[in-house]
Amino acid sequence: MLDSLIVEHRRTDHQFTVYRSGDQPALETWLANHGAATESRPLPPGGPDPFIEVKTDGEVVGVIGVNAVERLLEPPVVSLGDRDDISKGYQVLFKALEKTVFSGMHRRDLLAVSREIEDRAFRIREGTLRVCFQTLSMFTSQTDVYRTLATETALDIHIHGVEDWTPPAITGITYHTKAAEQFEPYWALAYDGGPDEAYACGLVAQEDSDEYTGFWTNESAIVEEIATTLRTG
Amino acid sequence: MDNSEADTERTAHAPVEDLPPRLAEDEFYRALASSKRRRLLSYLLETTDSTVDELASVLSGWEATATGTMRTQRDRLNRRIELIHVHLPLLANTGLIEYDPATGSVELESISPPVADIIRQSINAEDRSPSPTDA
Repeated sequence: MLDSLIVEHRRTDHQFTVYRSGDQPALETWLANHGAATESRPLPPGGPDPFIEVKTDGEVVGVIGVNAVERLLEPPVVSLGDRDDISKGYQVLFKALEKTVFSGMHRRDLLAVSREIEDRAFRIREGTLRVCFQTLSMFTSQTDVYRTLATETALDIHIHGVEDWTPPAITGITYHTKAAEQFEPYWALAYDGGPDEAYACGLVAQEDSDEYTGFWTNESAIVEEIATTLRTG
Repeated sequence: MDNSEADTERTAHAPVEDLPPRLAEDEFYRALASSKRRRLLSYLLETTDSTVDELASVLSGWEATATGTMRTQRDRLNRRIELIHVHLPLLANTGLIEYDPATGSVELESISPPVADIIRQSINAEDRSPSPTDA
């Protein structure tokens, strides 16, 4: 089930400290928006460019310049297919970023993360995108985005949600309302990466009194697990 | 050169009585004779108090931005060992910092503005010099 996936991801705890002398770098904003434990420390004027310390379970696993990381995160989201070329340190960072469990996130934060996944699916233009919107009425504001996704690409899109609203019929989109009650507390997306599973990405968030706890991932095996859970629910 | 003229010039820059005695101490220049220690001092001028662990990350991060590559766990542990065995005891003996090896806490001692200026200027000058070679 989806909640066991969240618990599994919770086992690893990551913390990020950004050292900087000026404004919050995009990376720090991005981490904060993804609900990662992030803090900052001041650097002296004339000192180094901003850098970030990555901690896993209280141990520092790497320190790297923010610019170097931002280059890696720029769209099209890291060419993950080239992973073998990435040094061990970067892999540690990717793992850390991927397995970050967020908490206390709100709907608008999740929309931003979801948009990244949808953008990736839009750029690849092929594959299957499965989305659990809790209730179909939450899909109302997203209808235009998904109409574009469905009509301008060859994506196979599946929307899961409790039927409290009748969505418009759109070619390329299949609605699943049976057995959707069990997924009602979950906001989830799973994109299989189309022709290349290296582009797979997903998100699972559980709602609890208007706040969400969950994780996002680039690991194709976990994305598949999310998709299977939704499909066979 | 005429002595009286030299005196006038020096007085014009800063009255001798305002200059901290530290600037005449060999120990002070030994403390500054390492780019790592200058970086530590400039960081402490920003934060005032810190820890051995944080300073190890600061030195590692400073290098990481210069090279554009990741400093690994091992790189950082090496910096930490140098801090504990070399840099922090030396800075503490010079009276520039207070260092508690038991807790790992590091605090900047009170530093007069001319001394702070020298530390800051040494960091600003780094930008213009080729990669600092330092032990």
